[in-house]
Amino acid sequence: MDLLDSETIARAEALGLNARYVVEGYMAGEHRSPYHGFAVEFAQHREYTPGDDTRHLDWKVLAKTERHYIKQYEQETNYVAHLLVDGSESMKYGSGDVTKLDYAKQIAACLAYLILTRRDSVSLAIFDEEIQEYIPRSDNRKNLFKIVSKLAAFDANKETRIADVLHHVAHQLKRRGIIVLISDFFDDDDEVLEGIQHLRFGGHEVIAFQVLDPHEIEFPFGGLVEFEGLENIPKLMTRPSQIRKTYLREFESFRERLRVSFGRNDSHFVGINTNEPLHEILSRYLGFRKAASNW
Amino acid sequence: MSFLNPLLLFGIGTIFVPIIIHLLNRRQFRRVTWAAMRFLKTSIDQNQRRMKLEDLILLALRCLLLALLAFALARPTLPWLKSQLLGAKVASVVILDNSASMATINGDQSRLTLAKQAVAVYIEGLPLGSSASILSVSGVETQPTSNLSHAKSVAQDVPQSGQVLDILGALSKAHEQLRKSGAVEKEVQIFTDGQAANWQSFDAVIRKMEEIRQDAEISIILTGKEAAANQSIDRLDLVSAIPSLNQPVTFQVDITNHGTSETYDVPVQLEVNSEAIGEPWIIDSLPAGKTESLTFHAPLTILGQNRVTVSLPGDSLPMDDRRTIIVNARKKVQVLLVDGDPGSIDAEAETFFLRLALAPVTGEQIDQYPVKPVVIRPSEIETSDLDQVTSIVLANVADLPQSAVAKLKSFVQAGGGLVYFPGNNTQSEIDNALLGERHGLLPAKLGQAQSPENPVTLSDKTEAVEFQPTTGLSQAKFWTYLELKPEEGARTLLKFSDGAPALVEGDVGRGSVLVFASTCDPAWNDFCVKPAYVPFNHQVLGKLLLNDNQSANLRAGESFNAFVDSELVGREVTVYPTNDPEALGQLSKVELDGEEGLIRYAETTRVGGYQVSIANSQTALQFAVQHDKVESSRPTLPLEQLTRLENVATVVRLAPEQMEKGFIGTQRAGSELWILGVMLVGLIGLVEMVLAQKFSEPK
Repeated sequence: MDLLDSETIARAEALGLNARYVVEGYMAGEHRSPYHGFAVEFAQHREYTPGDDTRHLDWKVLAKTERHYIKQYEQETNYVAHLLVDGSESMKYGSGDVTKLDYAKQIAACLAYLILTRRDSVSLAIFDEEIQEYIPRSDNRKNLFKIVSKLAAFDANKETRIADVLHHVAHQLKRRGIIVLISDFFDDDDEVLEGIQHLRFGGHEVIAFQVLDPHEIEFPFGGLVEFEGLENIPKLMTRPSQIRKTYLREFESFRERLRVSFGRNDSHFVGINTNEPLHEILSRYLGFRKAASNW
Repeated sequence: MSFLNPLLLFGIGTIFVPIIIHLLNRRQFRRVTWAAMRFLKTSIDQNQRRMKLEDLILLALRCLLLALLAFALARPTLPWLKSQLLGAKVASVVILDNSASMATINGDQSRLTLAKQAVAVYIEGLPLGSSASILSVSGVETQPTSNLSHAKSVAQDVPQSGQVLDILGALSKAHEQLRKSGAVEKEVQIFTDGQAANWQSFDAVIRKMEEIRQDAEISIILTGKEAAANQSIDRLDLVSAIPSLNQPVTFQVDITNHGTSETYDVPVQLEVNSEAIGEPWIIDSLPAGKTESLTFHAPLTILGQNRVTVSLPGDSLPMDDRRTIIVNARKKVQVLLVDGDPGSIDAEAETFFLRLALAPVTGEQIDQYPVKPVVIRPSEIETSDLDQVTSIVLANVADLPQSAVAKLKSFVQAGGGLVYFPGNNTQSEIDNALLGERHGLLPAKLGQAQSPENPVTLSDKTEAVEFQPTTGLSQAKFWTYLELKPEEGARTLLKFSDGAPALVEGDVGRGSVLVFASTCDPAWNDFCVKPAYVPFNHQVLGKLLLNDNQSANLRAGESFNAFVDSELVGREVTVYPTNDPEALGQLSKVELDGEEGLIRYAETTRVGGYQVSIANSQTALQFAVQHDKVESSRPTLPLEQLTRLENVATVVRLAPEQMEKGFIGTQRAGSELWILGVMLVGLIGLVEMVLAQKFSEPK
């Protein structure tokens, strides 16, 4: 375990606590419905035993055979989730108190907590031009603290090369898993998609969380503004009101391209606005996944 | 191109203001750390040219707006450009001649009517934004106004007056008004009949016009034609020294033929209080340019004011065919003779000859004779009742008590007459100090008694009309006389043959004081035994009484002032033309002046008789306004003078058929561009606002 200063430890605890709070809040919202795990791919049937959730009875089998079978999912097969968090400098942007990186860290922490709670394995990689921090996969709950500590301690200061990292990960991972990519995707989208395709080729499921600040989405600036780039991009001075429509059109086009491209690669693409509460986003997405699996 | 406010051209320098603001604004920006630079750069790249162009357009518009504003405020003018819309606004002074001669009828309308029509057409043709003021000889004098309808209305309301055109005075006023104007075009328009008699000071007028031409254009619009004939009553004067009730009174009347041909059988009618006196006097023939003097005798039938009118048959100038005067008829004229040297017997008295001269009748005639001389001693002045006294004569009086002098002063100020005859008792220094310096009763400073080697006589050459009919004045010999030094404002009525003043008159309050340089008895002269002594003293007395009539006989334009009982103060006074029941009376009020009531009336432009009535009072007054005989003169400006006028002014002879817009002012050149400038400023401001709004819309 890395040596962490007290501030980082405090931040890590706060991150862990917040993740726990979010996840348990979500689970409490499920009521009597037990959580089926993050991996929701159907695996096999097994015979019904008292206490099983009747919602998982396979009614089609029952109708054909008059025998009670329960559907079992992949999550129960110890899937590995790889959390890839973009730690590049562009993620440091935040118009309010929360930067995109902060938000990405919270998403990662929550997912790690969620996955480990279901006794699945999770690994963490924080990258910019390359992977800067890595915690190998583990299903040990104690791994959670390592993860949140790494997340809390990380500070972004380099440019991003998502595609390179994705290709690297695709080469490294031998076993199928779920790749959770948390980034603003401020990179060459074609190259990023090549990386995604590479992962999909390796049999990995890819879930992309695009974290964006509300100002990046709305571009609400007025007057004369000098924009100082976060990733060594030269300063630009302009009157934002005079280019807002163009910016929003370009930005939305970029997001749409990502959304469509991820969809074409059977990958989930989740757009996140950092002014939205995290638990709502997780709840909405996980609910979506569950519904998709039931279908 | 020239500029009326060239200094404001420096305002064009303000074009740097938007540039500086633009540059300063570029230094005032917000700094934002930003991640999505890629999209920002793409957006900027796509809009960069457009934004720079928009910025440049707005900057250029703002600079242009300020430059144009400074340009417009500097009031640029183009002297060669003629434009009704952009025409340089004109500051115009209209001199409308409404003197008596403008009443001359040409065709079916008077010269003044024609002039008013011309003024209206002229004002209507003035460019937008012009100002005009109206000056007339009858006191109508407006300040320049850009409300041209009002100016036109004022001109139309100018009344026909009986006054004389003072062209020089009107030009001076016009020049004064125009000097204050900042208009590019300045004009003086004189609407007149060009009566030559009004332009007597022709050289001075030309000089004035040359001076005005430095600032303004002058036009003379001559209305009407020269009349073929005109007969006028130039004079109606009371000749009798002391007009008395029911006593025959003599009037002198002068009739002049101003026409170009002799006239025959001209009837002249005298009326007293609207009653014709006998048959008209027929002037058998009156050659062109000649004056016929007539003498009329008529009794005054009313105690107090009598209205006497002489009339001729009407001609092209009716105003001078009637002349009216007011004559005050008295029943009794009481004269107080203060004798400073009564002597031991009556014949030795200082006033012996004077008393006889003032009342040259005997027996029963004494009672009927209007002049009642009463002799008193100097010490009796203080105890005398002066209410019924008309005049007081100081004859060789010395050592008057101060209280007596004060009483004399009050008497004169209230309208009484005072005559001063020196004598052996006279102490010049004391009288100068007491009567003169202290009480202002002497119109001449008294000097030392002069005794020339050869006796002097009275000069027959006098400008005082009252003494002109007195013949034989030069027959009297004066071996001693007092040196008189007339005070400022005093009039020397008679002089001795050596040129020394003999009779000096001065006004004191509403009264008059006459100082004679020699004695009224034979001590210093033999005047008292000469035939001229009686009419001389009657003329002196008449001169003093004339004050009564003078205040009631005015020249057109003079103010009528009459003192009435103080109890009438505040009462409403109505003044209306005599024998003109349709004329609306004009109202005023009896004012308080000192301890007396005063009626003041200044609207005396119309000639003829006026009646004055006071509300709830039996007091009724009359006065008469006479035209100046100069106005009867027929000739208009001769060709030589017109030629000289054309060198300094545009002379237009306007006939009624030429009365169309633009008969004058067509030569007016020059346009102000400020209207155009302001319109452009407004347009650019509007475009700037619209573009700024449009450019600021998100793109």
